[in-house]
Amino acid sequence: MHEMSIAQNIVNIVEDEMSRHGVDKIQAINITTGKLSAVVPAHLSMCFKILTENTKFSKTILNIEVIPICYTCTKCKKYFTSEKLIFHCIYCKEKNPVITAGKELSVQSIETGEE
Amino acid sequence: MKIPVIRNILEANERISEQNQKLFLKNNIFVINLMSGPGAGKTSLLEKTITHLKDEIEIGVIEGDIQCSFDAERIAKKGVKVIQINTAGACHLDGNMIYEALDVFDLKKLDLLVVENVGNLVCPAEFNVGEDLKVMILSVTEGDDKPLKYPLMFQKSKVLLINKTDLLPYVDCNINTIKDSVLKLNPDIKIFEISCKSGDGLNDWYKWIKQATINKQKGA
Repeated sequence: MHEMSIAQNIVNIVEDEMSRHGVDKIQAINITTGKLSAVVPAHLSMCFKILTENTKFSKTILNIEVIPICYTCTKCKKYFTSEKLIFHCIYCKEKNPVITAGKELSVQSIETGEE
Repeated sequence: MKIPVIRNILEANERISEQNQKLFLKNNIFVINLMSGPGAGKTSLLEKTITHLKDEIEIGVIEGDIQCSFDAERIAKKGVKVIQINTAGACHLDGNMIYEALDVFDLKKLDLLVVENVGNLVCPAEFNVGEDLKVMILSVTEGDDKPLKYPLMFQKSKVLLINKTDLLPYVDCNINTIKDSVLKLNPDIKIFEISCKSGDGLNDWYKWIKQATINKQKGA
């Protein structure tokens, strides 16, 4: 439900970066969202499309990379990923592995489409 | 040409929340962001808490709702300063809405500020408003499966109040299932079992919130 404000924030950040780099056209925006960030990629794409209609971003592609939940076990120190929340190490069954990634929500890069 | 950016999408809100936080610290105000799904009992808990504590600490309330001012009217009747924010569709309060609402309070006099967020079990958890901590309510009528279905809020809250325990005999909700799931998601969370209707369990909550407010004033 809050995808519209997220789309607006993306636009604000990209506009800021464009003026910083003296760029006036953007072909693609690359963002990452963690599985735990409570963002629905399809909703975000739709909100971005609605928000940017008839603007300089109307042809810009929003690429959304979804980061799985990454864990490190506190006991066996092994690293693993999961599409959903889990509460035990998949190797040694130790409780509460530490979440090391999956909460991201960031603009990674923008592409101008020119060399 | 690819230009690296690497900026947090919520950075603007984070900046404003940090400003709010500094302002609260300067004025020694303990601030909680109170969240839950609609109808879990946020306003009822506030009414009870205000009645119990208003002679001991100075309380202010910011009410967030999509429309109308029913909640602010209920809180105003309890004799504390309250302001209603209507988000007109938005599903959460953000740092800037809170900053703009602060005008109506005499911050120097305030001890405890409660931000009652829009009733929603998902989005409010993503947006800090400058609070010291997030407190959430889950009522037993919502079902014991909610923590695992909506994990984010349970992970980000420091305190969970399980409300409407007086209704446990009438609903298929196992309170231990709630507690087990929540502790898996967030082993350090503090849990209170309460009923705003019967008053059960509320004394522990009153003690906790009063002590937390005093600790902030002492800089603890």
